[in-house]
Amino acid sequence: MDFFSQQDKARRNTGVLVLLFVIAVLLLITVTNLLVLLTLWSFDGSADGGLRGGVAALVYQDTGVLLSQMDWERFFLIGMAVAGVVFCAIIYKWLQLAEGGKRIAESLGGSRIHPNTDDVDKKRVLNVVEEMAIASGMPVPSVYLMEAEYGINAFAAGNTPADAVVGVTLGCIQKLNREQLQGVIAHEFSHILNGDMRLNLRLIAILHGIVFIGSVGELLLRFRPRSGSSSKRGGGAQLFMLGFALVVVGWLGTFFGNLIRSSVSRQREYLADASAVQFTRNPQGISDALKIIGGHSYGAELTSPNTGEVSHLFFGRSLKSLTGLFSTHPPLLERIARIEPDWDGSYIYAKPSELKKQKSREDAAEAERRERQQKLINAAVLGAAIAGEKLDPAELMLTSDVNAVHQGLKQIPDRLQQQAREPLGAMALIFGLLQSDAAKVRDKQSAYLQQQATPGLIELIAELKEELQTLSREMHFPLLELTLPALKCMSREQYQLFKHRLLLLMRADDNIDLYEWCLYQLLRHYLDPEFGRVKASRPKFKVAQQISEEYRLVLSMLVHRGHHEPKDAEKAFNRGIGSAGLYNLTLLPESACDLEVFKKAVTKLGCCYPTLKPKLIKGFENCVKQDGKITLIEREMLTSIAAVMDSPIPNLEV
Amino acid sequence: MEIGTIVFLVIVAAIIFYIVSIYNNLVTFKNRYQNAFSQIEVQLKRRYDLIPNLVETAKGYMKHERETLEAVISARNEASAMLKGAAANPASASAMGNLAGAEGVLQGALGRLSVVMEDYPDLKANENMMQLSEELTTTENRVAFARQAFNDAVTAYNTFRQTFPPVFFAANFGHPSDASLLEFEDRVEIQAAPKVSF
Repeated sequence: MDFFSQQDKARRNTGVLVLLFVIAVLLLITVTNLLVLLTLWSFDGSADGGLRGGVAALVYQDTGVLLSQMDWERFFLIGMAVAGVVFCAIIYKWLQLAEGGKRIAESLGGSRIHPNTDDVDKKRVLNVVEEMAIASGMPVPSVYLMEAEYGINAFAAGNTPADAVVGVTLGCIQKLNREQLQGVIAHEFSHILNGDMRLNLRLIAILHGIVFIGSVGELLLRFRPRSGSSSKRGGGAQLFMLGFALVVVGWLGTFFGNLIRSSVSRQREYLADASAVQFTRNPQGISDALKIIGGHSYGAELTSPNTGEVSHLFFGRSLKSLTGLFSTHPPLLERIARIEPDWDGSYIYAKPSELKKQKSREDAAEAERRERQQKLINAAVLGAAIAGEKLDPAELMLTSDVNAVHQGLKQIPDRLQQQAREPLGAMALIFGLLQSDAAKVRDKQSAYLQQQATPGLIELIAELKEELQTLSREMHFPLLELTLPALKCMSREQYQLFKHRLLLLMRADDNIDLYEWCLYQLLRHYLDPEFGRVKASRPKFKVAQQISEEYRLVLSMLVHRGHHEPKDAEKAFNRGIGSAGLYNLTLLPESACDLEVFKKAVTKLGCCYPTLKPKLIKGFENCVKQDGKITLIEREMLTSIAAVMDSPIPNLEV
Repeated sequence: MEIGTIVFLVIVAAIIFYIVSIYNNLVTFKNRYQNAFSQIEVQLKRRYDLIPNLVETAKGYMKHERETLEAVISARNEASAMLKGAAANPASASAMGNLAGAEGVLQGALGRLSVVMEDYPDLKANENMMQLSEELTTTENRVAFARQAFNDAVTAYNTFRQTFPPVFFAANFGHPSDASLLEFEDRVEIQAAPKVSF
């Protein structure tokens, strides 16, 4: 499946969304005007007959009386007011959502599952998320648990992969086994990859705008004066009428909102189901999960009062009331049948005791497999050492036939993995990766760490040093990605100190090399959104020609450092520069590619308009893919460049 | 409707939005610090699980120091109970105070144990003991780090609660008082980690 074309489709869907939204707002304005007209007319025109008489008169007489009240200036003012309220509500929600998935998860009553939890069920879901992240080439998102929800459901939310979170319900982690959980999580990941999350957040904001009018109406209805003197009665009734009108308009808004949302959401669900199968290579998992939802007494329902506006984020249908045309999700039967065409139509009714047994069996099998694997490798390494050959354990891992998803993680020693899940350990690992080989620089680095010392940090770095040195170079960045959830558990103050130290350590040798630069940019890209709103640099460049020199330099650097054969270098460069829409530029010689200039150039590329960025990234991507293989350095450089440009990291499967 | 009315309505709407956002922010800050407490909980629990093993190992060598060992165990149980109370309600100042107090007692008991242990060179050389005390030290450091994160989150909440417009609304929105920081009495000792190491 091509995620890029899917992301593109998601963007196009946004276009449809905007169109529908404009129509909805226009209709809202018209209806509001009509109601105001009716109100005014019923008070002015037929004060003696009262409202009922007025309506009767309206029905029996012609509508000319009504139209005579028509006043274009008022129409315009009311239109402005409605649009203004909708706009304010959208902006408000938008600002709130800009804080990312975290905020949504919290508003649904979720609490973060800490990476070092000791609860078996929580641990399992974290492991599954980690595996899926590695399988899909994404950073590991934070996981939130909704402890008050017994329905089986999950969601993914965020603006970009960097601030994405995955949320699961208690029912989800208790009632599903590992395979089924994998299916559900994979479904959520494909929402992230397909660009649905952003679309979903936009939907939330827009819905909020349309529905808000109804909420104001409800408020007015509730707060109308209870009993007034005769002189005030007219005002009270008018307020009531206004409230009533707003409720009607709001109801209409909700109607349109749900229609818009459902039409966009439903088709994305099929797609996510299909991609989930692709990630896990296992249709059984997700279809069984769906069957269990069908057989579960709570189904996929949620109880949190805030579910309404976010119901389209979820794995399963979270609200009972929305069915048919307004359903955010296709019917379960249909979804299962699409994954498993020869399904017999029976749901799974799991008995708790059986599930427990099955789970413990799985855990035991998992532990055993890990152990066996480690033993095999140890034996092989030992054997090779005796034979006088140095064998890289990581290489062995690649050739052994474990599940492809597990492979990435298996290459990192368990101890390092454990430390990566502790905030303090994660910090020590990052600092350890940056430690210099030169004794003089290393002394300087430890001196930096001793200022405002964090207890135990230096000892921990020393302790982990040996293991870090044996870790193969390919696993440095996967390890870094593994540390992200733990690093997100720091407080803002701790993070600032961490970042400050990071820069000090990197500069200890008076020079920031490519590796350090890549590492820092990746950390910054993924962690900054967690600790505050990120200010996007103001876009300056609209067309590629304005930054052609910078682009040329960055691309040349990518070609030279990426270990291209000299004869291929030219070809790769031309292919990249062509896809970016730039011509008549030649490859710079290696001597011209200075790291300092490179860093500045990349920063400048970050100041492009968002519309230009995908084209530039595509150019880089095509350049590294030219020779049919992507080297480690190419991968690291490309991800970091994308990080600096605040653009989604491209999918690097050849 | 006149322009003036519209302007008035817009201003009212803006104020409503602002007040709603204050409410939401209070909830968010509270969630954050409560969530940060669960980090401490994980680490403290791990520490409390280590202590019985430590005492069990020490028992084999220290036949005549039953009192010291019992004091450690009872202090550990007390602290464990207090942790449960604090975890159930991280907003409560008294629960937090109780936990800090119980931790202080436990620290003291562990300190005495380490002094007594000086007289048992065999015990100090015991592999199991070395590993346990090493682990205890690491956990200690993690507790300190998590506690720092928790206190930062609490401070953020308190500061927001006390700033100018929110201070008027906080009490009505169900945030009547500041959350309390978790400071352990014996701070110096914790930072140096208990002296069970040799």
